[in-house]
Amino acid sequence: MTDTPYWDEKVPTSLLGPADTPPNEKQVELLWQMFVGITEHWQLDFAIDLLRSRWLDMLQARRSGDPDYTEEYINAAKVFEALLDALGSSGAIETIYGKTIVTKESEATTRLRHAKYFVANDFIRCFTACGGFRALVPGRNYTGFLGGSRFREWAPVRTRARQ
Amino acid sequence: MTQEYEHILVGSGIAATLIVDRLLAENPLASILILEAGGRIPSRDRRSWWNLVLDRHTPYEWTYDNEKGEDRESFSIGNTPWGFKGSRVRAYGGSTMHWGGWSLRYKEEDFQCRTNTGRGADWPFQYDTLEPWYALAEQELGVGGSNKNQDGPWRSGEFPLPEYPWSANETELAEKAFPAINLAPGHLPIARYKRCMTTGTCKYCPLGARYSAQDQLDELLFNPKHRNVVLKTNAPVRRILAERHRARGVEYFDSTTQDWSVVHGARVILCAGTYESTKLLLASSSPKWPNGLGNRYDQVGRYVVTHLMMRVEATKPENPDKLYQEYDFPTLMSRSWDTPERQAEGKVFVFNNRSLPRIDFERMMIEGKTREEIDAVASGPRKAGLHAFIEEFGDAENRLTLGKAQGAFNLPQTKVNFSRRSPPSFDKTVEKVKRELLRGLKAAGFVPPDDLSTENPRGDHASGTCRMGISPDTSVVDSNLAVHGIENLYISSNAVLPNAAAVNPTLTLAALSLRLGMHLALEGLR
Repeated sequence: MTDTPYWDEKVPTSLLGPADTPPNEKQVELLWQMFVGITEHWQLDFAIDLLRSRWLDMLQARRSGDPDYTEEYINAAKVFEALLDALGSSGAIETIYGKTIVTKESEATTRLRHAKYFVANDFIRCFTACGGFRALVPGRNYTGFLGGSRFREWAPVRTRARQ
Repeated sequence: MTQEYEHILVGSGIAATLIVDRLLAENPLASILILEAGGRIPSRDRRSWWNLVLDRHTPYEWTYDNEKGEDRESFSIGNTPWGFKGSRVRAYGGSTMHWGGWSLRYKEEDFQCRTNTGRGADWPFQYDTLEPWYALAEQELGVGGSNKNQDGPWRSGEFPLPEYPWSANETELAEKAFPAINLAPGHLPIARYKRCMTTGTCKYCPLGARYSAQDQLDELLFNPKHRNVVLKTNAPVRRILAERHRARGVEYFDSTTQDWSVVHGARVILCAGTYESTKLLLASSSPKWPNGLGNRYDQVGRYVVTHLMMRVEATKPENPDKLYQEYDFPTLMSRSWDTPERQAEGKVFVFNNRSLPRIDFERMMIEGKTREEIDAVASGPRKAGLHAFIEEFGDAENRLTLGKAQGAFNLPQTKVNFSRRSPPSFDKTVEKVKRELLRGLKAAGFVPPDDLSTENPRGDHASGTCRMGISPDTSVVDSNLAVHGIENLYISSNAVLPNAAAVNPTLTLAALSLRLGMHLALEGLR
């Protein structure tokens, strides 16, 4: 009889939680490592460290109000840690971003699939909207991206194809 | 009778806000009650903003009309389906909580539609009368626009803020598509207010800002000089109390007592949008006003009209520069077909499709696409699109009436009977515009598809149901927006617009509201 890996444990598809305590420092760092894995998985030349404050803001915001994502973050950190132990960094990142595709809540049937649907998918959106799109395309702005002031010295978008 | 307030305003959108702004500018201690049927939508709120970015959920969609199901809010019964869904926000700040900030003036000829075309109605005054108020409205809303735009009405001054530059795909359309069909490209004027304050309510980032009435009204409410201004949310008004020639107050739901209450005022000003302002008159019938308040000549609710929006799209096989619409709003437009020469057949306002070309990186990443696959999509086929509003004319048989049952807020449902009397003629205009726009896209190297789309009329720009005019037998309010025959009841909503013209009505409503606010402030209480 083979033990089921932690990440393959069955859980209800609905949002987990709420949790009694916030993710601890180690868990936050595991989540950050998972977030940084986006640049590794898609071979993106991007200074992702610059996004840390916005990423932390996202975690804080999603943990306040309703629904509360705290338990999902704790679950994702534990899943990622288990994947790291079993598969190493590259294997864990490949599992999260490459091998596990979850686009509907009804498909979030295991701990890993929860981590993908409720956390990793958010990380992808956070990355692109906070500026990561620039690693994929030579644009200056993107839907959801907030940048600049109205008193701009340079255009907030490409105004000609070759710029 | 004790007056509890000098002014009672029903609604808290842009019209109410700008009237209050003028009243308080003239008298900071003016006593004002604002009754808003809806609640407060979270804005300037980090969680809401992240929900928008991560889930693409806007915090106001729950306020939209429900068109389907047993508890539906709105009904369309004419030969032309009328769209309600997503067309208005019923909450503090009104529809500025979801608008795009497009701030266009009507043109000189729009004020003489009847004289020029034999259709629609004339305004009781000319463009020149409203021009100073347009200028003030642009200042209040912080409108960014180009002073080089051609084909606009005359202006007494420059825009308060510079225009948004065209994005690269828009530049291409402006240089190649528009000249081919004799369109002079222009920059869409957009209301930007002061700074980005609308986190979580605005789909149009990156703006630097987008005006919302909630932001401005909050500033007025929290100003310590304004000690006599009260806002009540979740306070729908179901009836105006009136004698034969004078409004006494309103009956509203008081959320503190959980019961219907009466409040009296020296003036009652309806700023509840086209639907609710009109319905409130109809619902306020009495033995002295058996067909509804101000409806002696059966004009209330007639002439309901909006804009038809049509779209054309075309594709280029490759996108080597990976162009996409970097804004989520259009900055390219043209008013070259919004001219006196086109007025008789329906003026046309052309603008870029705000979403094309679109590259949805996060969706591809979430779906597990590789970097190579994403790059291939980004540099693959590229779409371009153009939209147009086409002017329609008010028809007395098209009307807004009360539904039989209660809808949201325990207020009557909305029923719109909209029919086109001469569809072949109108369809011919639509086809002509489509052909011209496609010719432009072809000139820019795009290949059109076989099918093109025309949207049904949507309620976003609904207007005309309490139209302004000189005579009470053909209009509902006079040139000062006072309801004919009732000396202290006013309406400031798109309902008073005598015609729809070809462009978004909000700046015109803003100008009218500022003008009314100043009129009321200077007139004094009677």
